[in-house]
Amino acid sequence: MNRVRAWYESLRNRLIDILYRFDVEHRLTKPRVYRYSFAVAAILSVTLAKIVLENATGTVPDPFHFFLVSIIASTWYGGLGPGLFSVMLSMVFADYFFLPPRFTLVVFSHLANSSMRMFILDGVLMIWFIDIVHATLYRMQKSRLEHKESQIRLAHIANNVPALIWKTNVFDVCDYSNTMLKQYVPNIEKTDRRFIDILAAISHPNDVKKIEVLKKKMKKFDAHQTELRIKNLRGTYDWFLIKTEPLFTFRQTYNGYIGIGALINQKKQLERQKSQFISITSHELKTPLTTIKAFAQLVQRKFAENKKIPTASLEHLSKITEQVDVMTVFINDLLDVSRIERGKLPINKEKADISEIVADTVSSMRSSIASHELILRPIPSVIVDADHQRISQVLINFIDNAVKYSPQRTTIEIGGKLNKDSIKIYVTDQGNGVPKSEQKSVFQRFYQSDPAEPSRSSGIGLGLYISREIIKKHSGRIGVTSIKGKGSTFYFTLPLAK
Amino acid sequence: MKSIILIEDNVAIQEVTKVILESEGYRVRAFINAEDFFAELRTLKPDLILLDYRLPDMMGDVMIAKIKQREFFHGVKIIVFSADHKVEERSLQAGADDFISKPFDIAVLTKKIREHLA
Repeated sequence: MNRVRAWYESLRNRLIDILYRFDVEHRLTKPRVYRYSFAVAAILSVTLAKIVLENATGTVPDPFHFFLVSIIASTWYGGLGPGLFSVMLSMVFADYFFLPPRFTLVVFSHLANSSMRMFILDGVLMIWFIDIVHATLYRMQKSRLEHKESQIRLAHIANNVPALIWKTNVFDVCDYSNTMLKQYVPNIEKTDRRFIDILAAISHPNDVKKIEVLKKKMKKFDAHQTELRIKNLRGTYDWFLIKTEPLFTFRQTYNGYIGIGALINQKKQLERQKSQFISITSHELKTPLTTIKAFAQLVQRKFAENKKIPTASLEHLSKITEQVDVMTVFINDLLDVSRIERGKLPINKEKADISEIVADTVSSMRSSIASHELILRPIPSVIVDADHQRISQVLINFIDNAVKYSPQRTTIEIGGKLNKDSIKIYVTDQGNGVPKSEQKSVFQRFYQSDPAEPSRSSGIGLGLYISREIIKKHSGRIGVTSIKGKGSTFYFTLPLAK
Repeated sequence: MKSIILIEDNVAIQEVTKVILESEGYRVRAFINAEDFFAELRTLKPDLILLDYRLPDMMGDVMIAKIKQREFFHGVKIIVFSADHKVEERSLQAGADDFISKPFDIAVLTKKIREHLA
């Protein structure tokens, strides 16, 4: 059905095309009036010219040549319609003015005249030929105009977008730049420096590494995206999200790069304000916590010396201390997240024995966990390049989660397994397990287990996210395997030190 | 009787720390900023300095360097305490003998001080 429809439409279009070529249109538009007026004027002027010439020279030139001139001119200017119109007009004019007997209108008797027939054939062939030439030229001109128009349109768009836009040629020299880019590099169209060098010169000294990465990507003909600071004419820096993409011709040959830089000052400012806010708030929150904890412990000490104070009160005081510690962990987690977001999570790697790190951590946790039994399996004593505190933080997160999500009086097993070039540390609990669908998302930021599931869940869902980032920084892997109802095993791997 | 100098800008923390240390039997002089401390330098004979990293007029690492410059303070232990545990490394590099992160445990504080004064 669609094919029939397409065929019908192409036929219709062709018909319309032909009709237009013959200028068959019912509207009397201004250009049409001009075209036909031109044909009439041409005929009138060649008739006049022939009469003047006859009188001046006394000779009688062939009238058809004169009319051919007017036919050619009308066809050229007006197309087929005025051309045909011109042929008919010439017949009338020739008959009226030049063919004997003069000043009579006996056109059709002259159709028997062979020279008149030749004239009509000549005229029609001529206008057909001229129309083809004219249409071809017209199409060329039209496509040139359309090309120019689309260029203007593109330039208009490019110049009004609040972004840097450029294109380089195969030598990486910029051959197109929009207005905004010219505000950052004033003489960009005159220079023949490589664009990447220009970019390196105007970007912030701290972004050198990013430029190097960009260079490498360009060499490999890869698209790339990065955030750069670029110096403006006031001498300050603006943040840009730079995207580059190689261009290829339709023959798949390399044809330079197109680049776009979106202004992201505001986003960067907001990010900075956010992490500043988190950092200041965290610091300010810790100050009163310090006082609360210290006073609580101080009072607890005094009470402990006094036999008259009930033990319940002592426990209440230690609850205050415990909760302060919980809150401190939250604040530290928030701080860590804001650092991760800024890419500034401090990791101080040192060569260390992984079995010692694990043993230290487990023994320090044992004292605070009464509800579960911690079993430490022997761990291969190997050296890794790791931040002791951070790895310990990951392990604490794992064990805390195991305590939180498994029933009391069950065991939590901590162990290690040596692989070819890495060591795997795991924490296995006997809880409900993590459903397969959630095994990936538990490591996401602010992840919480299903609220419908009855659990003693608490916390803001940052521990595993931070753990993942820490392990990532150590070039290790983190993950979870689980059987529903039987418990889950959280593990991480660390590459062995060379 | 051992003597301890406590430099801490937060009055509440200063107060509680002072009470703790005095109950442990130390003599404590407390300052709220670096300027006051350096003004009274001549009158002090401490065995240990407990220093908050972030003071209103000076950062901990600069402070430690300034203290270390003086002959007078040779052999005096410096312990930094701060809420920001990322400054631990910076203060140890500057020459501090130990670092305690806030909020601190009284047991940890007193134990570390006892160890350094032993």
